[in-house]
Amino acid sequence: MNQKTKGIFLLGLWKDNPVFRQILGICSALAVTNLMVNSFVMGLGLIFVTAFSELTVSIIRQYTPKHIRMMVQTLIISAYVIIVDIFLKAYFPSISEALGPYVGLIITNCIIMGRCESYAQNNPPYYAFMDGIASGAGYAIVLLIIAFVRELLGFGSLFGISILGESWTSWTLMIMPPGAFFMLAIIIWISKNMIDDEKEENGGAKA
Amino acid sequence: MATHKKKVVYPIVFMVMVTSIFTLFLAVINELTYDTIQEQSRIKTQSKLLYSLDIDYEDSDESILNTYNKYITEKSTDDYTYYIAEENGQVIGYAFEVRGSGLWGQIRSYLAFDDSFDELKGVDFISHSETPGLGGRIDERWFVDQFKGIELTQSADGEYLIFKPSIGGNIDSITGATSTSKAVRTIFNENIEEILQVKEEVIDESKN
Repeated sequence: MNQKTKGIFLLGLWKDNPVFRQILGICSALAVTNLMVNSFVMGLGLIFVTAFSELTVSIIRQYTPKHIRMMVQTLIISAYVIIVDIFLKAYFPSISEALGPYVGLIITNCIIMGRCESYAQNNPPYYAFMDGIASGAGYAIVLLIIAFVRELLGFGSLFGISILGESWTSWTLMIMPPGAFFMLAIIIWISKNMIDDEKEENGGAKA
Repeated sequence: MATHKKKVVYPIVFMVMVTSIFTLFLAVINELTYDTIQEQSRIKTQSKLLYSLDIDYEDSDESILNTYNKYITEKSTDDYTYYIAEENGQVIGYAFEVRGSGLWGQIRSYLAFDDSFDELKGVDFISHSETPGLGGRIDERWFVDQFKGIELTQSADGEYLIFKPSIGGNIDSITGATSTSKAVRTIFNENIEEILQVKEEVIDESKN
């Protein structure tokens, strides 16, 4: 892995994390994080779609007329999302049902469109693909952190395996939508403090 | 002039090409997985039928298929497709497929009765397009399980299901989903009424 790829991953996973830095993909991050399994599958789906969409957009970027590029991107993204949807329906029907409309709604996830537009449109295929994996992984990791807390406190289990035992009183709040809002806000708060601290240490901007 | 013309034609040709390639690609994938998806949805429907009849099954494709084949015989009247559940030669229940309009689209459900049509054995929704999070909550177990064991012998005027807190109420409706709740109640009440009228025929049929 060369320096540039490392840089891409540092940005995607941490400094420019799509969820807690760019506040993109929030809708699905709130919706599917009540169970680890759902978040995991959603994360994988997004990594797949972002990586391959960016790859395709990057490969055909020199032939794409500039003024219809958004149409082309949307077409590419939806094709990959449909592939994910079909794959889940055929081989993981229960997960497909649990995720419900959210798989199809990956199409509207701003992370993918954002990365295609800002990165894949101007960079060679290999780096675009890596950027897709990095951004998708950044999203997946945040989802898994939120789901870890929500499932552990809300059901007393992780990936469906009971951890805290029978005597654990489930926090119903955590499985309900407000639980996701609290968790996401806490993560944004913590990460903001940590990233701003880093900047100050480097002699960056002081407010 | 020539370059201007090119700018109109090229994007169209490009878009048509990209669209064709992706459509072809998706069509192939769809074709390859079609049978698997059909099979999965059949198993899903069968498991819902077993659930409405309150028959235990393990949560694996194989167990659902085996249990289904062991218990269920499919029949039909003029108006209904129905299923007879038998254990050791004894009828333990009947399930009917019913449908009606919900808030946004058709609601399809199984309605299961005990062997003498005196009470509901249970229900389970096969498909619906109600609002996720509101009317869509009719899928939740607490709602579905309320219909188990509802008495059908003492009701008057076709009001078998009544929402609490009305007098004689036996079902909780879904908060925030009044229209869906009403639709479900109407579909069930009307169909129970009709099914009870053909019950003699169905019971006779199952003895043959």
